[in-house]
This record gives sequence, structure tokens and C-alpha cells, in this order.
Amino acid sequence: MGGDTLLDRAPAAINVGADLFADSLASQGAGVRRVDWQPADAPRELARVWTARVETANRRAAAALLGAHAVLVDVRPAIDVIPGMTPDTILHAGPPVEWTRMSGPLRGAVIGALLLEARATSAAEAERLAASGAVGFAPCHHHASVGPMAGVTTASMPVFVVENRAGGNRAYSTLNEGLGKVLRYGAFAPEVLDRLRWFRERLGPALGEAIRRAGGIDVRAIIAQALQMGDECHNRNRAASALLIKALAPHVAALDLAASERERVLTFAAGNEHFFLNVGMAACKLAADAAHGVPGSTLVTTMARNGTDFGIRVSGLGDRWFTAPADTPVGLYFTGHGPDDANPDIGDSAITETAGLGGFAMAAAPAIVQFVGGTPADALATTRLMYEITMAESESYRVPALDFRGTPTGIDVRLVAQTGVLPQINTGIAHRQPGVGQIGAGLVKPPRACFEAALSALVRDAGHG
Amino acid sequence: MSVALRVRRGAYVDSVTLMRVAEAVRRLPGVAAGALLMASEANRAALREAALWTAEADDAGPGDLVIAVAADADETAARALRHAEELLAARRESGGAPAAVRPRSLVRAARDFPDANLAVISVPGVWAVNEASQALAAGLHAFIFSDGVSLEDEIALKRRARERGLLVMGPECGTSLLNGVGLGFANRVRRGPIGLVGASGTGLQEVTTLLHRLGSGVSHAIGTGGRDLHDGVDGITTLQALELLGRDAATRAIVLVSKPASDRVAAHVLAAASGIGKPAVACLLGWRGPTPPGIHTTATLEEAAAAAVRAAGGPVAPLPAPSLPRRRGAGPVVGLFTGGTLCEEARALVGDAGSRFVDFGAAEFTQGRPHPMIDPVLRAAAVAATGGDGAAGVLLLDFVLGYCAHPDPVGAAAPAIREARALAARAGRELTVVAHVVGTEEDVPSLAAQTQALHALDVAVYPSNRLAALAARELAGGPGGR
Repeated sequence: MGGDTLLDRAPAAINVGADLFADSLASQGAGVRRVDWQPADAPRELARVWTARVETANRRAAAALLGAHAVLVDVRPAIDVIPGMTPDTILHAGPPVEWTRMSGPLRGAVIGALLLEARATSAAEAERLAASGAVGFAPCHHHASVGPMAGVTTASMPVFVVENRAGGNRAYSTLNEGLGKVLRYGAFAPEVLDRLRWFRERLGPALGEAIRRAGGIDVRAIIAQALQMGDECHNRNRAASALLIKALAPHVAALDLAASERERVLTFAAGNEHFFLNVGMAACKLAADAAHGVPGSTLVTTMARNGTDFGIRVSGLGDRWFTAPADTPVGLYFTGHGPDDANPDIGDSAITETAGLGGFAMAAAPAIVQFVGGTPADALATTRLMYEITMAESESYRVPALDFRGTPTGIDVRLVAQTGVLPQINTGIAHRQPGVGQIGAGLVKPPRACFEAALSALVRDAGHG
Repeated sequence: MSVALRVRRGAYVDSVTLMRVAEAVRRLPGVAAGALLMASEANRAALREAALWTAEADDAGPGDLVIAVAADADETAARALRHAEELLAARRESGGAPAAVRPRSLVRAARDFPDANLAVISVPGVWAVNEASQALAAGLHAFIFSDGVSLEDEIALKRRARERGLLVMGPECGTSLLNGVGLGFANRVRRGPIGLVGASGTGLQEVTTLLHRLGSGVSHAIGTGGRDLHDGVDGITTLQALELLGRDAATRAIVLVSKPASDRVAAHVLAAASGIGKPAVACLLGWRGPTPPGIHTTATLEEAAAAAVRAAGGPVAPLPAPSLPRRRGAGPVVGLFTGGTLCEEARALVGDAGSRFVDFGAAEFTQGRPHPMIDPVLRAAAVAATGGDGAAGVLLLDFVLGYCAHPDPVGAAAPAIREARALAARAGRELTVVAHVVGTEEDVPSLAAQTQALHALDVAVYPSNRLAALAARELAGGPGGR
């Protein structure tokens, strides 16, 4: 890209520093915009990554992120579809973490999954097996998958299959279990496992068949509509869930199943306000994967937590994770619980923020800001602030209250370092003990250290590029 | 423990609001537990389990809201219920949507303002490098006023800019004038046929204002930063600017202005200027090397301005005659300047012996404070102190008007000039004050107004820095004073 020739026209300037200079330009009738400048922490490092190579790489990565067109095409057992899945694999949320460092909810979910897979017959046996090294733990993110909260995914679990009509890649996520005692919060009581067995035997196959009959369901279109109906598609999925069920219902009704089974499928789906969450997460993962692996790009393609650590990955830095201890969300608690009960931040659901939804689309879902005592004006301000750290604006996902401006999409490590503004993540809060479940919901930010480490790696990378 | 409960029939409230209000109720003094729930089967069970249920809610259904409180006394519980109802009823005003926020980075601002073609950067050194890097990555030219940028960083920035067809004006660039718009310190001058390139901000201001006063005008003036003609930087921006002016249809003659430069780089730049095919005038202070064909070199800024007007084919209007001071002393010249190039030029004309010259724009005076053209305090103090300096006979001053400059430079110096005179008088001496005002009648305040103010102070005002310096030398009693 060549610059303009400087003398072709009257100057129009961006002013960084003393207002005196901007005032003077404005008094001469020249166009001028002022930057609300704060000194960045690492100006020397930063100066090295504003390069033409990075700009080109970021344009490519952002185009892949924005261009992803997610379509829900199937529900299949994980072992059949997730790349690299084996009977011994246990996928979990967040960056890699060994058994001994796993938090309560994640341990509980691992125990539950081993019981579900009949690899153990008691919790104690499951714990011994988990500690023995005989099962292979891996992040969902390493297997084109994402899971909310503990994110535990094993061979027999049915998973949504989402396909990128623009890029050809696929992404996967388990079925959402609803609220209360659920595996993703580390519960493994008999009713939790009974529900998962029903998922495996009835719900998964029924949904898969219905989706195939529907010829696939356009997830991007559902998210776009839901944002205009008050969802941000992370903490609030009411509209998206309703739209998904609306699309599925005629095809579920037509299934060759007993009426009571069809009723149970639709009743379960209708009774779960987060029925859509996992589908939306898979759609976001699809977009992030499409944008991952562009050499030089400073685009964040993963933000994920395992209940112990928060980790990010960056498009141009391959499969390296940049991790730091996870913070505890700030928010509202259900009756009988408080901050002392809370587990540190957990789950892959920050993939929604990574793809420009959730906290980044807060302005579309003003009800969510009440989790921290905010107002609709705060919701607008939050989304506006996220434009400061993103490299693009969504073409598909638009916010009515911002004159249908596209949501801020594509976190740039450089802009986080430049502005000091951290991504805003909406999240549920898990009890620190396995099996208790969700105890609240609120807001959380990634640790700054993740971005500082990623910036240093990008600088080293620029030195060699 | 007292449990109080209220049922609101058919009052749906979303769960987030309910959680928020419940949280507020639980924080009230004396309240042990509080819950606001729609009376669904599961919620009724939860309330019973939490011992927050009383018989009066037995007929509440899923469409009814239950507010339940456990507190240390009946009165506390009742008050908590009232508080909950108030919170539910409250209409919280947002005060309207927040105003659009200022972008927090140059990149963000550039995206919001696609019309922008340059960045004006005045943040401190190491941060200026980062901002300039962003500007170049965003395809913007950079005007860098900041000091404290290392030579190494300057070289790297300018090389990168050149690769992308962009100019880095600076660092330590005081002045540019592009299509009639001044960046940094600049004056309101007539548009005209003469294009300038300068590694000297006050040099550019002196020449552009003189071109105006001589009846001509300026197409563009491109500042390059003071080190552009140093070894290492190799005149990158100067060469780019010469090329731009060479192609610019409005520019018929070119003026090159610089403080002392590397001989090698100066020779290279002069050769490039002579290859453009437009008449070119060069005032490289201290340049003693050979002059390539087609280049007219001058020793002073005023001569450069006059030569350029002639080269562009225009008549040269006469400069006004100076007003001589009523009171005259003699003795060595003390030159106190806000403009670095003006200081250098005057020193060269007056000579160093016995005289003293101070550039208040030099780094030692601008560490952590604004440039003396903006903040005249330091120079004013030095002016006042001259009155007590027995070795000072003639005080030589510059006053620079224009965009970004102090709104009344003469007014700001007036008390110090009076004080210096008074101090000198007490010591039985007479202090002669000689000045030059860089500006035009279109500047605010105007050249005429500032000149009049100086006359009122009995200060001799000369129409160029050269003439002021020569007059000071003359008044002092010859080169270097007596």
C-alpha cells in the first residue's frame, strides 16, 4: 500500500499528544481527530510490530474470521467426528492442565465422564484412573472443539457438528445440559449421568436426524437475528435458543419416534435457555480456527479457561498458549452463595468474545449488564470500548442500539498492549466444589500477563520474519 | 429470626433484575437471607429449603413473584421488603447514551477517520517512535514534534517510510505548511510559487514570512526535522520532499533551509536539488562546500527569501525601514532566542567574541517543559537578568508569531524588558534592545500590533533576523563589541 503524495490535498490529521496542535489544525479548518492517548507499557516492543507484514497478515486473518459462515449440519458421537478423538481421550476446556492442578468442577466433570463411559464404577476409581496417566487429557481447542465451563468431552458424547460454508472447516461442541446439577459444572450424580445417557441414546440421534432433514441450519443467521432480539449469545441465549428450536421443531415433529419421545426432545430443548449456547460456541470456534495460523498475524484466536489458568492463542504464533492464573468473575450470586464459593474463571465460552459476541456485543443485550449493577448505557460503553482493541467490525452481527454497527471483532494483541484495555468477557460462575453447579453469573477479564507474553513472542517473531 | 414474605401476583420480572435486587436486600444490615423468585415449582422448593417460605405464599404460582426475607427482627424484615419493592419500582435513568468516546489509539482513530493522511505526534520520545510506527503501518505520513527520539530510531522510521512512499517530518520538526495549512509553529502566509524544504523550523518560519512580506508566497513548506542532513539519516526526508516539490505544479522555485549539516549529505542534497529542473536557492548555515550548477546559495535566510522571489520571476517588494531606538548604549551583544536557527544565524553575523547567544529552544531548556515559543518564562527571566549584566550592551531578541505560538509574545516579554532597563539604569548604564518579529500582518496577533508594542517599549524592530543581527553588531560598536 503506497501512501498518498502529501501535497495532493489539504492535510487531514490524527493528533497524538498536545491538544495545542489539534486546536491549531481545527482553527485552520483542517480535518483533525484526537487520540485519547495513554503511555503504553512496552512502547519499544510495540513499535516493532506495527509493520506492513503484520497488517497484511491481519487483513487475511480478519477476513477469514469475519467471512466464516457457520451451518449446523449434524449431531454425531464425538468418536465419529472429532479429529484425533480416541476412547481414552478426555477433552477439557481451556489451556492444557494436568490432573493434579485441575480445579474442583473440572475434576468432577472428568469423574462424571469416566463413569458415563463405563471406565470406572465409582468416583474413587475414576479419580485413580484419571491420576494414573491411562487417559489422555487434551484441550478441546486442540481438536476443533469447544465446551462451556469444564468442557469435558469424551468418545460417546453426542456433539453438534458445525461446518464453515466459506472455509470448509468444521467445529464441534457437546449438547447443553441446562442449569442446575450438570456435568459442565462438575456434577456427576446419578441424575446427571442419566441425562447424559439419554443424550447419547435419544436426544443426540433425534437432533442429528432432524438437522439432516432440515438440510442444515444457518447458525450465522440465527446469531444475527438473536443480537437484534436482546441476546449477546454468551450469557443470554434466549432468543437464539428459541430460533433454533423454531427451526428444528417441524423436523423433530416428523421423526419416526414415539410421540412421548418427540415431546421429551422438544420439552428439553424448550426448557433450556442455553440450548443454543454450545452451537453458537462451535460457530465461533469455526471462525477462529479459520483465522488461525496466519504467519505474522496478531489476531487472538483463542481465549479459554480451565478453572486454574486462563490461556490465549494468537493466529501468527501457532499452537503456543500464553497462560496466567485465572481470575474470579465479578457478578451476582444465586440465593445461598457468594464470592467465597466461586471457582476461578472456567470454560471455552470466551470463544464468543473472541469472535465478537458475548461481552463484545453487550450493547445488544442490556439486561446482562445488571450482573454488575450496570445500566444500558454501560452496555453501550462496553461494546464501544471493545472497538478500541479489535481490528474489524462484523458484517453479519449488528447492534441496533449502535445504529446497526457491526460488533467489534478480532482482538489485536497490539491494541490491547497499546490501550491497556482488556477484553470484556461475560460468564457463568461455577462453585469451587465439584457437583454443586452454577452459583451465579457475571463479568471477568483475562489476565494482562497473557497479552504481555504474547506481545513479546510476536516481537521475537517479527525479529526473525 | 423473623421471616417476611410478599407475593406480587402476575408480576413477571426478569431473573437478572431479581438477582440484583436480592443482592441489595441481602446487604441490608440485620438481613440474614433474601430471595426474589418467580414461584415456579423448583423455586418454591428452593425457598422452603432455605426456610424462606410462609403459608401466605402457598397459592402463589409460576407467574407470581415472591419476595422473601429473613432478618433479625420483624421490623428489619419489613423494611427489607419495602426496600426490595422500591428497587423493583425504581426507574433508573441512564442519563442518555454516553457521548462518543475519543479513540484510544492512532490505529483506531485512523479507522474512524479514513480521510486522514498524516499523524501529528507530540508525545515523548520512546512513545513517539511507537506512534510513528503505527502511523506508517496505517499508511499515514508522520509529523513528529517530539524530541528524545534516538538517531537510530529516526533512521529506521525514515527508511520504512520511504519504502512505503510516506514522509516522516521530524522528529523535532517544528514547522510544515502544506497546501496552506500550518502544522506546528507556522504563520499565515500568502499562497504562491515557492516551495520550501527545511531541517529547521524557525528557518522555515523566517523564510516563509519574508516571502510573504516581499510580495510573493508559498506553495508548501516541508519540515524534515533537525537531523535529516546528518550522516546516517542521509537526508532521506529532504530528498523525498525535493522530489515532491519537483513534481508539484504549483511550485516554480525551491528553497532549501538547514542548520549546519554533514558536508557529504549536504553535497548530495544540493546535487539532487540541482537535478530537479526548477530554480533552487539553498541556505545551509555554515555550508562552505562547492555549489552545483543551478543552485543559488546564500549565507542568510533573508537573502534566500529574496533570491527565491527573483527566481520565481516576481518583483521584490521593499522591507520596511527599521525604527531606531531613542536610547542607545553600547557594549557586547547578548542574543536571547526562542528560534534555534535564528540564534545560529545571528551568532554567525555578530561573531562570538565578547558576545553571548542562548537558544532557549535547545534540549537543556525544554526538558519537561514546553518550547519557549509557547512558554516564554525562562527567556523572560534571562531578559530581566541582562539588566544586571555589566557585560551586556545590546540585547538582541526574536519574537515568533503564528499558529501554536504564545498568543502575545511581546506582551509576555515586556515586564522583563522594562526590568532589564531599570536594572541597567540603576547601574548607570543604558541597555539597547533590538528585535525581530517573525510573522505577517495576517497572524494573530499581527506583525504590526507586535511591532507597535515593541516600539512602545523603545525597542528597535528590524524586518529580518539578518538586519536585526547586523544592527546589533553595529550598535555594539563593531564585530564582537568594544
